[in-house]
Amino acid sequence: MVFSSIPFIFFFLPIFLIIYYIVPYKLKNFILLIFSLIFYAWGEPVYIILMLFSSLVDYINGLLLNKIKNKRKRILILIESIIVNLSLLGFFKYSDFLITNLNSLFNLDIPLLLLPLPIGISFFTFQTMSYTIDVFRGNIKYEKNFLNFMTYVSMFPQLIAGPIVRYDTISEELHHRDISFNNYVNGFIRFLEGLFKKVLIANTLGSLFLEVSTNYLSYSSLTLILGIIAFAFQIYFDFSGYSDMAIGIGKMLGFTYLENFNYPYISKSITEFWRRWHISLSSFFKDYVYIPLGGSRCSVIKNIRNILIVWFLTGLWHGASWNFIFWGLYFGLVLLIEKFILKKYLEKLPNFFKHLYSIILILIGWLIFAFDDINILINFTKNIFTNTFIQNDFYFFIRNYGITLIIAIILSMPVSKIIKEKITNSKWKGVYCTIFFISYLILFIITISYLVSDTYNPFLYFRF
Amino acid sequence: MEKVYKLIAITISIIILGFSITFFFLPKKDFSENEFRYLTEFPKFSIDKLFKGTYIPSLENYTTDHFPLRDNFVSLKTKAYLLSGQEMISDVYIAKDHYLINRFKTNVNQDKIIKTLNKFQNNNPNINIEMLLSPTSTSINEDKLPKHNINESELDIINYYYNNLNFKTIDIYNILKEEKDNYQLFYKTDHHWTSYGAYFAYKQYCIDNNITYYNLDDLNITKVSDNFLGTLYSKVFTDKKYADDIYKINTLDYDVTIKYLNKITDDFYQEKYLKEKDKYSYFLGNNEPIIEITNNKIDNKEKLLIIKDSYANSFIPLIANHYQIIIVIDPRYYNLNISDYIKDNNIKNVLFLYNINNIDTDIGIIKIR
Repeated sequence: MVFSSIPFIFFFLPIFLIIYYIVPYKLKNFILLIFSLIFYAWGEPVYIILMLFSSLVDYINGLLLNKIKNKRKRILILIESIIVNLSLLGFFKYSDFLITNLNSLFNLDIPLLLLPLPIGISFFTFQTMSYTIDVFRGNIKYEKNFLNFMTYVSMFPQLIAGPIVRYDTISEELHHRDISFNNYVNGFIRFLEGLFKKVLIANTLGSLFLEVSTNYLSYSSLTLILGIIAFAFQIYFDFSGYSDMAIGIGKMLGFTYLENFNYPYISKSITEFWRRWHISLSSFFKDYVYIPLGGSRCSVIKNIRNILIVWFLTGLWHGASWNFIFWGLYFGLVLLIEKFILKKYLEKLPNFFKHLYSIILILIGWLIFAFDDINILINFTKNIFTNTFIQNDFYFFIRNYGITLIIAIILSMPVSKIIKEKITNSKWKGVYCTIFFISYLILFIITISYLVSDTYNPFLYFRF
Repeated sequence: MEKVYKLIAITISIIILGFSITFFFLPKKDFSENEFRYLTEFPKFSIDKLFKGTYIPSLENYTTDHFPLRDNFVSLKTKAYLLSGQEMISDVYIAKDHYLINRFKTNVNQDKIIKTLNKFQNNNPNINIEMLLSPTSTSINEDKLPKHNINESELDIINYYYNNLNFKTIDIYNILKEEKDNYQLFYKTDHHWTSYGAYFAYKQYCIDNNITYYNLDDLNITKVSDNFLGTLYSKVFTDKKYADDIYKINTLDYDVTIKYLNKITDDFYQEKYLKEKDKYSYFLGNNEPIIEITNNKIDNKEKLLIIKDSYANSFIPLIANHYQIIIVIDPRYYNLNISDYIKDNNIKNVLFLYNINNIDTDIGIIKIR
């Protein structure tokens, strides 16, 4: 089930929330667990076993690590956890990628497994693994109650698309949390904002990207570039919208998740971009891969190696395809160049050029990310340079999507924060507040109309 | 600010609950007139379906298909699209003067189709074969489209066909362009041509074949409907206000016998469809594999075989004034060998009639033998 759908908004969420708020405090985790399992099983009745298995393994690891003081045995437990989780992830996410590459490399004919990707596997394996690592390191206390642990792993707000919530972040709230009307209100508003971002902006610009990427042979160069810009906004509003919805629902339940995005497109360097984009993932790789490898507190050569390993893995994590690996290594390389060469020069540039520099490099990144077929990626890139520079199609797309693009640009900057502050201090507060109220209502109704129209599917058997 | 947030959260929460509760009490429709399809039924639960992954999607579609005020929401979406500057919805332009116009994309199958048709001509060497490829509203009403649009040229593709087909072709592009400001040649809400569009195609056909045609003034023109909302309307769901008129154009005293596969009638026009959604079927019904039309007022033994898509349906009543027998084959539903039919029935004239937007994806023309 996805958040931005009629069944979720009108049936799953209200029914769950009513029960959740009514039951006594002690039962709340249990209710949350039951509904999370339903939420998961909704799309994947079979793979739920994987999630239960992964949780059980790391729950037991936590218990064992608490008992056992022998260092060697503790390391074995740690290695066992990493192996179990990474094999789950590796087998279900990467085996076909591996087989395809082996086949073409050695001219083999191993049949593909064609397993559907278990929902959320990239997230829950990372969460349970990080739990064991943190207990091993002594950073957190182990969880005694399996139901609580299971609730943490399966919690439906962040189950499907993150953010990657570490046990550390919510361990206290798992036992005592503030379930209040205020939290409901703030969470609900956050959820709405995420929903608007996903449905009204990401989906609209997604259809522009789809149109451009299927007809890139005939469209003008500027249209192709516009397509990449549309993709950049699609992926940002889709992903950050989803994070907003997750954080919002979490809030409604009394949980505080960490922020996952912090206006990444206003960055002045790529280093800054990666501090603002998908924060829970970058900090995961930093804490569990980069620093254990020695981070930057080692020789320059080792430091370079560490950075490249981290970015190879970051790329691979995004999908089982070469373009994601290239995408990761591309950013690794850019970050290396920034760190060792460009940094001093960049600092002296006027802000405008810092932004321009970052945006161009980010867009090149999305170009690599957008096409998992390398041939299409190469041809698309070639056509940017060889097609007619500007034609009718560019004007058409600007007319059709210009308004949405402008709204996307504005919302990529921290303006809404500023506006909200201005309103609070304004003399015209009443008027602004009314406008605010009415716009949210209208946006909500329009969003619902988009969702309802999803299955609007005129069957034209009298077509021709 | 805090207060506004509270107000928004409460109001929208109540709206959500209102809709969820209404959903359960609302009587469910099983057919959507506007979309012309059956809506998803409540899926019967079975473990098997659940594990195959087909149960949940139908359940989800069920909630969306039967959502309260669904039609209003869909037309609201269209309005929101237009407001945000979009001029095209599901590949239909919202054009000037309340015209809805299909987008025209590059054809991909033209070489295959040309090969099939030329082979057909080889198999029937002594037959007079002609092709009439109609442009659509997309090129004829070009001036109603947004100035910058992303259509390919219909005329280029028509000419490509005409240059590569080994038999006679009938060019109606010019006559339609000339007449487009005098008459409404295409429906505003449907992808078909109107009876006027069909008339000028008929006129050009007659000129090219040395047949004395009827002038419009000599024909009887009757408005038979003023509330036709066609396929394009169904796709974009704009304002119901701008429905189309349907005209019947023919001689006053035609006298025909029409044999369908399972019935015989004495009229081209089927009144019952005017009461339904699919009003274009007023012309000769729909989805008939083969129709035989006998003109009882002519005794010239002239036969014409028309192989066609639905554009032909409003053209046939006019051309039927000039042949004693017309056989109409829709190869989407007619699966036998047409060349055999031609030999067995001693046919000398064959007309292909298609519109350029459909021919590329027509599943019938590609299997013609």
